[in-house]
Amino acid sequence: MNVEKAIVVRNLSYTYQANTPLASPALRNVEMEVLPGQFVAIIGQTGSGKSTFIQHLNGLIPTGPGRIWIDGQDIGLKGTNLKGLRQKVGLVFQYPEHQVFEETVFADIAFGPKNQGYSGELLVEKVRRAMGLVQLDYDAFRERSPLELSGGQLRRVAIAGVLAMEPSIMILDEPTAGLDPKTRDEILEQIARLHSETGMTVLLVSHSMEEVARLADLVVVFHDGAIALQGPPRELFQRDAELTALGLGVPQIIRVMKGLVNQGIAVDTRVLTTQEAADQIIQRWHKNA
Amino acid sequence: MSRLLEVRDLTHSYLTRTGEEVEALRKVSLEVGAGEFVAIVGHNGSGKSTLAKHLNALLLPSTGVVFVDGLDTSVPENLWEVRQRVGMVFQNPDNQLVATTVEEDVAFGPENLGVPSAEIRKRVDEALAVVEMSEFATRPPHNLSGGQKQRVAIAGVLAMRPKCIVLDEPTAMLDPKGRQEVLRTVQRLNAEESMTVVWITHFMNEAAQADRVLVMQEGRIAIEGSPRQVFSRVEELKELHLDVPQVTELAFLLNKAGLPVSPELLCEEELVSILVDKLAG
Repeated sequence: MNVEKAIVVRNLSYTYQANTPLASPALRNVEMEVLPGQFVAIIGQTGSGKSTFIQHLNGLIPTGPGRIWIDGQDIGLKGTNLKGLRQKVGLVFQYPEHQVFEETVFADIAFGPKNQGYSGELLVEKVRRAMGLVQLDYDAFRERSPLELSGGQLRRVAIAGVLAMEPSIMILDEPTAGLDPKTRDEILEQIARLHSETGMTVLLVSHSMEEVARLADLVVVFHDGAIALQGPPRELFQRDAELTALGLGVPQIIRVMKGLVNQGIAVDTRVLTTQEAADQIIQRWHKNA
Repeated sequence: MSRLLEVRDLTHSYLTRTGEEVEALRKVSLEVGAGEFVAIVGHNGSGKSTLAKHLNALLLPSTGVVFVDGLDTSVPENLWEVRQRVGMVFQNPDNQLVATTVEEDVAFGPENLGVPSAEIRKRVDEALAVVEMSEFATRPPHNLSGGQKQRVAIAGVLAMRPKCIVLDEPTAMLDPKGRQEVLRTVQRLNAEESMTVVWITHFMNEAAQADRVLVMQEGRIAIEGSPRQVFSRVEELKELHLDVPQVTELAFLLNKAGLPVSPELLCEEELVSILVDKLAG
């Protein structure tokens, strides 16, 4: 069933500390479908259920009464190979550099494939490929201690550690949190390139609408444990009032374009970049002149 | 506006583990007036944090001088006076809270200063009221959200009765809601209590709220001015890999295409009303 989809989620609910006085529902009837190779952004305030949701996708939290299929395989079935699942669904946590623990970059990235039973030349090949994907020079970095690396390099090592397992689905939980703009852009470019080069399915948890606008095919908005809105960014940003009500807002340029339309100036509000917005306005300007 | 902070020809160098000398600050000069709100931006390694740490004598100049309220920070006898006048708030909220309840945490500073206990009680209550955290006074800090923790850290600084708060990327680890909370709290302190604020950030929308913005690059102040002046230099900022508010960038692109729109714009309403004038009819 659902073989053509990378991820199918049906009726997924989860309650923290269920059956206690402290029970708090974190997910309510979440349903989602992701196509192979799709780039999906997951957005929502802290506490909206984003992180709880993604932890279900590689079996860190059991599915309970809901169901999840990864590449057509029901991961809630008894006897599901969780190790295989986690190889297929790579999860990069928030502040992944906190999980870099080996003495050299090579050893850290090799940790996953080594556990899968790889050794010798094959292991070296896996590490080399993963480092290549995040553009860390193999010879320059393999013997370096993670302690000597910059924040951006360290984060790339952590991502490479997940890539070395050759997952078909990659989930990143706020991969740019706490980075400066330059490093943030480098990491985002890295992820975009990874997506286009490998054809991997990517799920990106983010707080930034601007970030999401540039990258995602589909944006899914979580609120209060449920999916409140979803759609391609161009369409989704048109629902600015709803997004604002959810405490999320839309990129500034959308507000400018909507402001113009509200004042009777006919421009297309479905823009994603400042250049697209500028082109719209310039076109309109020349029409008037 | 009287001068509260004065930095003159400040250079700071240090040795790395491999024995290389790094010049983190190169002849930086800066004045901050009492009650001013100054934002410092620049990417990692540009010298922002090193500069900030000189403002309350956590670091001392290699050459040059730093005066806080007229006190030379390199004079050992001035140390406590300087630290009491300039309080610091750091990036990671989890590393700054030390006590088991919020109020004990806020009391930590004045207790160390030997303030009488009745006075401590008064200061803690006032500080928590200012950051709107009074109702959490007896709660353990680890259960708070990131934004709430940072507000408690700010209250801890306020209980020392400083003249200036230096915040080093106080919002970097917070979600958008937490960022708003912390920024609003500090803006209110600045407006209502005339607190001098030095706010280090990567978020340009935060820097846009300041009276003055300094852009640091390679240990120097590369650009300085009002937010409008600084952000309108779109090309230079992009070269430094810094963000520009989307509205400013849009105005810049329109200006470049020959439309009579000034790039010195920060908010969308401004741009909309200018464009409506020019495009209507």
